Amino acid sequence: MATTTENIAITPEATEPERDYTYVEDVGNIPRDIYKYVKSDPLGDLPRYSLHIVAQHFLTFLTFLILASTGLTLHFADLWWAPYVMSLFGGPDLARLIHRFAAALMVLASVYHVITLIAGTVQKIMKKQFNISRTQIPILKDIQDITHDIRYFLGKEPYRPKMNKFMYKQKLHYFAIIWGTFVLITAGTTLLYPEMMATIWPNPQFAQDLARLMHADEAIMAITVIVFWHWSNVHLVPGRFPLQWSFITGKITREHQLEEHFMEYLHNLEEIPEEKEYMKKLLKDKGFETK
Amino acid sequence: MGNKPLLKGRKIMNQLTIRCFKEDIILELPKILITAILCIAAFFTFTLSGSEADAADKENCLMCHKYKQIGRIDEQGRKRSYYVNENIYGNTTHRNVPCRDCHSYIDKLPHDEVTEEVNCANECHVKPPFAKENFSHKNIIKVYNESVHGVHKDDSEELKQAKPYCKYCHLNPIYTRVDEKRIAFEQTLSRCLNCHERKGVTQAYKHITHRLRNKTSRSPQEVVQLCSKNCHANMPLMESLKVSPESLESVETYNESIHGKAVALGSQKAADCISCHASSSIHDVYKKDHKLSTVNDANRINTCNQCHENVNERFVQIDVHSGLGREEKPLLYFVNLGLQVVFYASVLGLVGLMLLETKGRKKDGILWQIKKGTSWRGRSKRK
Amino acid sequence: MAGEPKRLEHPKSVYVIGFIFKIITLTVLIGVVYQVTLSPHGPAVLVPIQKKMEESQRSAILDEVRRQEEYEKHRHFHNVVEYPELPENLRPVCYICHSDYPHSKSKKVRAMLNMHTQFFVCETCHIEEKKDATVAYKWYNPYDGNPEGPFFGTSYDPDTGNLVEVEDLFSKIAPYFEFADGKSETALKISDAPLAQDYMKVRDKLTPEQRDNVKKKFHVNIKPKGHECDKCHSKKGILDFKKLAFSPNRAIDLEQLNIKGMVTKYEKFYIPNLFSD
Repeated sequence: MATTTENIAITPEATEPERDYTYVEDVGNIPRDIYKYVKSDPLGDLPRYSLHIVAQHFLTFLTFLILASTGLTLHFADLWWAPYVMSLFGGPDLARLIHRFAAALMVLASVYHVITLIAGTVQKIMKKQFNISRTQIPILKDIQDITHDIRYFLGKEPYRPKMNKFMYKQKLHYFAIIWGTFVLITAGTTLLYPEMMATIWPNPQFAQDLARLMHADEAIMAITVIVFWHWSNVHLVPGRFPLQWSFITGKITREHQLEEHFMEYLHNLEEIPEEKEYMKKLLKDKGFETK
Repeated sequence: MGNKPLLKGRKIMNQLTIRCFKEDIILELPKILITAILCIAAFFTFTLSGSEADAADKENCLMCHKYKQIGRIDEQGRKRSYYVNENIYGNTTHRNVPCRDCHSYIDKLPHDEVTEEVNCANECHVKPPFAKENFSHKNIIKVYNESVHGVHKDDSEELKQAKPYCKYCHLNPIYTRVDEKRIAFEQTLSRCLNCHERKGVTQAYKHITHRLRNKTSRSPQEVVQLCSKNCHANMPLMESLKVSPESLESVETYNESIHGKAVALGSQKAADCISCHASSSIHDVYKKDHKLSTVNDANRINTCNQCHENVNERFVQIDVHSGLGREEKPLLYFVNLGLQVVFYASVLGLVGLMLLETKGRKKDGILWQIKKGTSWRGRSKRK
Repeated sequence: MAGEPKRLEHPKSVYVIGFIFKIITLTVLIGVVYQVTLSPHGPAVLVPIQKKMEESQRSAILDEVRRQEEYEKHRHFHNVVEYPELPENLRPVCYICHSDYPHSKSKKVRAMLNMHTQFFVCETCHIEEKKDATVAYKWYNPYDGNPEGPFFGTSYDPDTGNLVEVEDLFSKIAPYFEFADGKSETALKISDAPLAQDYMKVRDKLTPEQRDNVKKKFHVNIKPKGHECDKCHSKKGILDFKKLAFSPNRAIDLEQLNIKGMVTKYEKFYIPNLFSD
């Protein structure tokens, strides 16, 4: 490991209080690049997701893998690899049952999510703990964060923006999933119950054609986005490889929390006394103590 | 009895080769009732027991035709094989039909060069059980001749030439045992054998169970292959016959449909061409506007009802052979175009953002990242 | 030390998962590239190039042959069986030019004559005998120096009366010269004979006349007209069927050419003139 003293980004001359330090009562001035020095357990240090969310994520991603592999194989039935993959699922007649079972499970997970979402929000409002900036709801700050972050990656900003519990990427992805799930469930229902849905849609022929188109296109888009964006961002990019444990442990590493969700870390400091103690000690050890 | 398994390294060309899986995997409960009825039917139906090629070969045609290499290259340079494999022939539906019932033009031996075609509407000297008349295919040929594939007076000369005849689709069918998952083949047959000789009853049993499988004895894959390969998917041929634009792209649109895709992957349940375009007499395919056509607006509810439940007026409006043509379905065409744009834009945008971030973060080389999995902590490239 | 970053201390097994993620990502990436370039579902950027390459490799003759084979399958109707074929280099030299159906002139019997190619090599019938040697006949198999059969068409199945189905379809009766001094030499040349290989090599360089001359030379020891039927199909024929592993009843049928049954059934059967036109 590198020694801790090398490459400290902050030099006294460049100090700009608002940008470089954040003052927290009882702790002191926390430098913005403190994440380079913190002790960080890969399995996670700070709470992030409740057990419900972890369960929902598991349900969603496992069913998604099944849905994608059965559905995609059927969609690309004329390509050379399709029969081999299909044989893994025991032929199309069995694969369609698997697909439907997985779909039902995924709908269940979505319903479960909506229930916990509503219940949790109501609970927070009752306790007067509701804070819009800690939710998935997009706010103006997210747009500022995007531009700030792009500037950082281009090397025009010294630090990453101070982001909330859910940063812009997560909000984008969350709404993509909501839209995708809605389209896939609607189109999928139309495909699964064509007789019933034909009586509901104003123009059964167009509705069916559209459903065939949307179900496949939306699914392919979901797969591409999940593989090239979600997985890559979460597990594969430098600093994240080989795995972020959050989806299993529900915890986030201190380092990651500080870097990408700084505002949430401040919230953690308020909530968790031990964390406060730790940060205080760290600042003292590293000589970041302010006079 | 020529019941031996075929030898290694030989392939009977009876069935068209296509990619598909064995049979459908889903177990169906053994249809005990059906098989019991079958067994009884087999008892009473088949009393004929001669099953070798010999029975059909009173004139000893096989004396010459049983030799593998009998044949020649004809004047047009085409290979003509005159070989009839007696062991295979003894296992086909025609095993009891004397050669000259079909090849009626042969009246001396050695016979002259054959110029005539076999007429399948001939009566053969085989009297089926429960029948007063000799067997003949003429009933089905009558149905066929009235169908769209039969030759009609007002057809163009080209069309008459191109229309298929019996042998175009049919090869001498070999008895195969029914899928043992659906019907307990061995058990049921063993009960028949309590009273009957193995020789006849095995094939009689196969004869009946063969037709109990599905609407057609051929698999959906075979049906699709049969209709498309040399005919409906042959674009130059179809264009020269001036078929409607709908029918011109019918194979393509079928393959794009859920029926087509499932069949392409080996489904035994999804609809093939015959499922929708013919009734149980299989050969009565008509144009859509013909009142007897199974896909005629008036009959479509019944046709879809074969597989789908609760079929209603609105359901049958759904396009089965659905193309994405700009002329036929402009709205759908532009929706599709829009979706494509959205797809490429969003994927490229998101991936671009990720790559930018990766680039911004990555201070070490790829190798280091793979080995150690880090890092963006601002250290310079490793030495 | 308190401030030491510990990010790298993942359990080792997790790297496997990480790599699986990478592999799946790579697979999907390949899929996307395929979708864009060659797949019929996408923009198919490379398909015109692929088509062009296929077009340049297409052969009208090959297409026609395939079409004819398909047609023949349906014309034949009685279940065409595909048999394994000998590789080019193991076939008798005659197969460079002639096929399994070499006879075409005599309308009445050409198919019957061709039938015999299952049983013999060409030389068995068309051999020019040598003065100093007698000809003996033995089964010859390119894969097996001493084939033991059972050979195709040598016995009947007692149950059905059909010819017994056999594995060995490559063995054929071939002539051997036996000299007075006891030496024996095969009268057969297979395609890897030096002369044949040499011919295949230089064939394109020869003019049509030269090619004709060479071909004439190949036929020096070959009679244009083969043996008459009764040379073999009689009790004192040159082939000893029993010795050649034919079953006794099969040997009798071959010696008598099954005439008995046929004459009684057909009034117009005219075997004496069968081969005279």
